[in-house]
Parts: sequence; structure tokens; C-alpha cells
Amino acid sequence: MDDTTRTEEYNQKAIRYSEFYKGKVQIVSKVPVRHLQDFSVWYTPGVAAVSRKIAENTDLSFELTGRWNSIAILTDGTRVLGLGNIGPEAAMPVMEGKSLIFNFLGAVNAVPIPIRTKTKDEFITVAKALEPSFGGFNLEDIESPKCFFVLESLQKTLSIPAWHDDQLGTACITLAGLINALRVTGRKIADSKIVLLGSGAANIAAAHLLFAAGFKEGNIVMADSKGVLEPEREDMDSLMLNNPWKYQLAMRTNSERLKGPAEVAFKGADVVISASKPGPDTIKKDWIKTMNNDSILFALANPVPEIWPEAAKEAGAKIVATGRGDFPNQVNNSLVFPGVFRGVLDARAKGVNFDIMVAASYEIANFVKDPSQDRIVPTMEEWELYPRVASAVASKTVEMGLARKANSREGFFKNAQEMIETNRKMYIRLMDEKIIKELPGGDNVEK
Amino acid sequence: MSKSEIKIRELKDTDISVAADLMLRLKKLNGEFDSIFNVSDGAKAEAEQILMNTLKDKAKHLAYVSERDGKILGLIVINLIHRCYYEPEMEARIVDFYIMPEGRRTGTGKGLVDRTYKELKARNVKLITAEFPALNPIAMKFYKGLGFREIVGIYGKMLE
Repeated sequence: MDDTTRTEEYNQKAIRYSEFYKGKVQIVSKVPVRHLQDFSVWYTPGVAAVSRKIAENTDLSFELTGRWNSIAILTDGTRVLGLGNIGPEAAMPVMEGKSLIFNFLGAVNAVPIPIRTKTKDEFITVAKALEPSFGGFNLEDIESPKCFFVLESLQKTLSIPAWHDDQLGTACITLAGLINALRVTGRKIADSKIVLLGSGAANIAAAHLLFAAGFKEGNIVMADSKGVLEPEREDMDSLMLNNPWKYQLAMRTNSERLKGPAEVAFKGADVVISASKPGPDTIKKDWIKTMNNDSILFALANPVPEIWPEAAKEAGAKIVATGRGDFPNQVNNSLVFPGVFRGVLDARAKGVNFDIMVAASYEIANFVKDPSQDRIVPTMEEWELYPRVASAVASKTVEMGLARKANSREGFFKNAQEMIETNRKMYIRLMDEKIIKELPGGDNVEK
Repeated sequence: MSKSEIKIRELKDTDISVAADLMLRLKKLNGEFDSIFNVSDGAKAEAEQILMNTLKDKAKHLAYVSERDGKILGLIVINLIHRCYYEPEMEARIVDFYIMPEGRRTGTGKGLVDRTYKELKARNVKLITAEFPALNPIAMKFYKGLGFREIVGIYGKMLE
């Protein structure tokens, strides 16, 4: 079956199933209700005693309510998948899907909340107002550069972690893959020359994460549709006003002061990480030929990578990663966010930062035993990964003084593993009992 | 690599092409704020001409550049104007002031301003003004920071 036919089949199924299930997540209670008298404890009058305790110390909301395991998936629907600004209502199916993954892989209660806000300040106000109900925020599908303003502002002012998956999740799995790609090709972080092609949310975050991981600022060159980022480029003043994050990176990176079209940067580069325009002709074979021997290419555009892996290899790339599951080395956020949130929630984190992300990336990289050119990142089926990432993240959170709750690494691991397993068992039981209904039209049998 | 010191010196005729580029970057930035300041095709030649005139008549113009490792990072151009009706009679008006992104937050701007103040003091000029588009908030903030205040308003509109 070719790509188009397969995609069309997924599309039709998605609509049919959405009509049938009418939403992907629901709230299920977690306390026994033997008879209605139990409500006198779960609800009034008994519940008032719990409220009084929390009113005295609001941090107890993490211990006496479900806040510790609840996050909000916040979006304004301005940059949904490849669909663009489709609005909050239309963003809901995507946020529900994300919520499902959060729950299935990380046992996190993720509440999808698409909101109708126009300005970044309005978004920030709404997010801040929601803070008391949640242990963390996952920002999703917000247009650039608004997403930078919002994330930076929320990280500064909230006392729970704020994460923008399009930035931080992608950056984190990219670094994990890169660590192993460097191991496989015998390179050192401090000597590697990296090109970040595309200067949107993912690569701007990747640049900061690479700095935090010890890559040299000057060895990194960023490029966008107008060419290599450098301080003398004509649009620098405009960027300073409209996208200060990109502007700052233009100042800090590219110590060689390369100028011109993006391909200029490929020459002599060890690594190209592309989060750019979908291909397959965005990156040319001739550009890859100018890279160093045993070069590394991450072509992360979806649905079609900037260049097909086979073509990249013909041109000399030793390791190729894409965003797709049908090629080796899928750089996939889903390997990151369930474990990261399991970890920050288990530590009752007050925030998350680049050092914690570096710890997560190393844990993901180290998870891969004997990395090879076709295996630099784990796959989603490797269940042990999520509690491993969770425990690495939680421990680092404690180390950074950002945790409300301490535990040993082993303790965090066991706790996360048990939660995720219990949660899986619940899914299996609900499906066995057909409380989660079988797929409509006899589709339940795996073909 | 440690960066060399920034030197402030007078504009020379050999600087003119590079200095004109800096002026154009400033004009293009003005265009970002207000389309009434969209840069014309002949702007570069005109900028070079203006800078040449500046050098020819040093009694009426001042121009300084900041330089690091032989590279020009900033430019200030001042016209000395005789004021009718009012005193003091002489006014120094900053008409161009641009710092390349790499020169910002390095003391380049302050260096150029200090050098200008010194020269104006020597010439006994007591009033300094700056001309910039009303919708350029960076310039507004910058000059307010230097203690300038709004003293003249020029209003405009495009005719149908």
C-alpha cells in the first residue's frame, strides 16, 4: 500500500471511530463507592476537613487531591499539526490524542484544554489562572514566536513545570539521538560541528539544549528559509523586535560567521538537524556530499522528511534519523513527554529546566544498548523506557532543588513503573470486559 | 577568542560605503515600523552622497564611527543647525545613529554619544536633539534613556 492510500485509510478510520466513540478520554473515579453514604466522606460534610487543611497549606493540594498527577494540555489552536491556525475547537481531537498517549504511556491524567485566546498575554493570564488545579502544563501547537513568549513567561512565574512539547520534547529526543549518533561515529560533543536547519520552535529549543549539554555555541550554525543566521543579516533588526530568541541565537552561534544560503553551512559539518520544510527535495544530495565523512542527518519534517533516508545515505550520510516510524531511528516526542511528566509529577516539581532535559536525553540514549547506525533511539514499545526516564527526571529535579517530594532514584523508578503497569492493566481489563467498546464495524481484529 | 577593544574615531572617506550600509539598515528598520519610511531604490547612492557632504563641511556636520578589529560597528551623524527665533542659537541634531547587532550591549553606543558630547562641548553647542520616526519605539526608549524629551512634533499623511 502506498503512503497516500495508507494515509487516506487512517483518515477515514479516524472520522468513523470519532463518530462512534465521541471523544477519546473520560474521567473515571478512583475511590470505592459502596453505597451513597460514602459520599459523606468523598463529598460534604467530610470533604470540608480536607479543604480546611489545604487552605492552611496549599502545597497539601499535591497530597490530598489528584493535583499531583494532573496536567493541562493547553493550546490556542494556532498551529495544529500541519494544519495551521484552525482554532481551539478543531484542536480538540489532537489534544485528546495527546491526552491518551500521556495516560497510556505515562499514567498521567492529562486534561485537554483548548482555549479561545487572541494575544500571548491573554493566553498567559488563562494559564496562570488554571495553575491551582494542576501539577504541570503541557503547551501544545501554539504558533511561533508566541510559543516562546508564553513558555518563558510561564516558566518564570509558575510554581509547576511548564513544557512546550513542540519545543522541548522534540529537542530532548533530538539530543538523545544525537548523543548515540556521536557515539556510533566516534565523535566528541565539544568538537562536533552542528547545523540546525530550520529555526522554528523545535530547533530554537534544540540550540539551547545543545548548549546545556556542552556543545560549543560557536560550532552551531542555524539557518532558516532566508539562509544562515548571522549578526549582519539584513533582517536582524526585524528579528530583534519580533523574534528575540532567534536574534539572540544569531549572536551566539556561528563563530565562523558563515553567510549565505543554508547549504553553505553543510560544508564540513558533522551533523545536520533539520526541522524544516517537508521534502523530499528540501535537502539536496549535493549538500550532504560536502559534509564531513560519516555524517549524521536528522531529517525531521513530517509527513515527508527533507530528503529520503536512502538518498541521504547514497550521498554519504552514515546515520539518518527521521520523524517517521517506517524508517530506522524515529525521533519521536512520545519517547520523551510521558516519562518526563511522570518524573516531574512524582517529584512534585516546581519547574523544569534544560539541565533536567539533558538528564532525560542521556537516560534515553543510555537505554539503547549497543547503539548502531540503525538504532540510536529506543522505540515506543520498550516499556521500561518510560519509568527509566521518569526516575532520571525526578532525581535531577530533586538535585536541582525543584522538587517538593524527594525519593531515591530506585524509589522513583519503582513508583513510576508500578503506576504505569497498573494503568496498563486497567486498560487491558476494560478492553477485555468490553467496557471500552470494541472498534466498530468488526475492525477490532488486528490485520 | 577575546574581543579587541572598541575604538571611536571620526568618519573617513574610505568608510563611506560601509557607513552608508549602516545608514540603510537604520532606514530599513524605520520602514519596519511605518510604511511611510519605505526605503527607495536609490537610497544607497543618496546615503553615500550625504556622508560625503558631511565630510566636506565639518563646520556643519559631525560624524563618528566605532570600530573593532578594523570593522565598523556603529555610526553617528550629527547636523549642526542654526536656530531662528530661539536661543541657544546652535542645535546639534542626531540624524543617523545605528549600531550593528554585534556591537550592541558592548558600550559602542555610549562611546559614540560621549565622543559627540565632548566635541559639542568644545564647540560650545548647548542643545542636542535627535530625529527619528514617531513609531520607532527602540529609538524613543534609547533617547529617553539619555535624558531627551519630546520637543517637536511633525505630523503627516499620504495624499490620495
